Amino acid sequence: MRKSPEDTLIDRCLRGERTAQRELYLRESPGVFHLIIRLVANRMDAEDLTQECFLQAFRRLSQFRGEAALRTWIKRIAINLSIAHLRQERPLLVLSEEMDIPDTETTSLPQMDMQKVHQAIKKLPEGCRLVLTLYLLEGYRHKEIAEILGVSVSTVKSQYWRAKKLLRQTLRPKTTNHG
Amino acid sequence: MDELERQIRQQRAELDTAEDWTPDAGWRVLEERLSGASAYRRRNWFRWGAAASILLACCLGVYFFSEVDTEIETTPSLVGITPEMAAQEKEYQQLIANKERLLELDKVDATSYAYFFEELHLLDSLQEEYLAELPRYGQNERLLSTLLRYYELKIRLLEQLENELEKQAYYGNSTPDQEI
Repeated sequence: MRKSPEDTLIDRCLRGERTAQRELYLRESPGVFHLIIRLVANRMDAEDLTQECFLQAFRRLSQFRGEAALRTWIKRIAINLSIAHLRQERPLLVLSEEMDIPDTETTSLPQMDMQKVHQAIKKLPEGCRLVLTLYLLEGYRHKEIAEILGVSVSTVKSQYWRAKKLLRQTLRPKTTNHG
Repeated sequence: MDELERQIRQQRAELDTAEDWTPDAGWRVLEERLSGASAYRRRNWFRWGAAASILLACCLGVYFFSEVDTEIETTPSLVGITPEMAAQEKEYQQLIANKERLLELDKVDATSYAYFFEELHLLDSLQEEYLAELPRYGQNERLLSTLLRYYELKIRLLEQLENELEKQAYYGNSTPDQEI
């Protein structure tokens, strides 16, 4: 059976080929860096964690079983490193059980600038930022996020609703009262 | 899915280009770290190899000495009677065990060195008699000293035999009798 280009790339990386490792890094590091910066909201930390993530990925590549895509596997390392980094600085206090009213706003939004969305996500409170990034941008389910963060599913949902509400408030065009 | 989610998901890819990120520069730094990590791993392998060798040597040592101890354990001792003498007895027993192992007594020609074998046999039978008396006269100092004296004699006898065997190896096939 013919190997896929990704399998070939993995084999070459496992053999310690620098060109293959470079190829993988150039392909995946932008996504990994942006994921990390959205989680930790600090550029310097994100740069360090991105390097650490790839260092671990290359070291542990022999453990990659192919159950998920290589990108998903590397991003999972990035998520674990970022959460460990945030926990190192202080406990994830924002992830306390607090029920927000579900965000049911359906009013239409004008076309959003993704640069502004990215900056707005970085400014969200920590818990909201983590949950929104993992759910909306990385495609994890509420239950999976609850397991990753060690909180209840209802906390995850509550943080997500809150995140969306805050994001909408930030991105909504400011209306000025002339009265 | 609401409007906010729909727009973000539709333009998801743009979010990964929002920050300045130069993968080439990042790779140069990482490559250095990877080279360092490889060298560190090689050094680690060497360290683990050295540690494994030392551990193996220790295990062999423990195995060897525990084997000696096992032999000693099978012989009656003075442990329950007098701890000081028991320690001395243990030292003697280990010395004897090592000498016997070194000399390979079962390979020595018993006819050529009959004198030594007779003496050794006599000492062994005397020891057996003394050990039989131990439960009854355990605290008898003379008996205990005699028992230790037995070990000393046996060590001296084995040393003499060792000398004779070395002489034989040096001078050839001449037996102790012929030399005298």
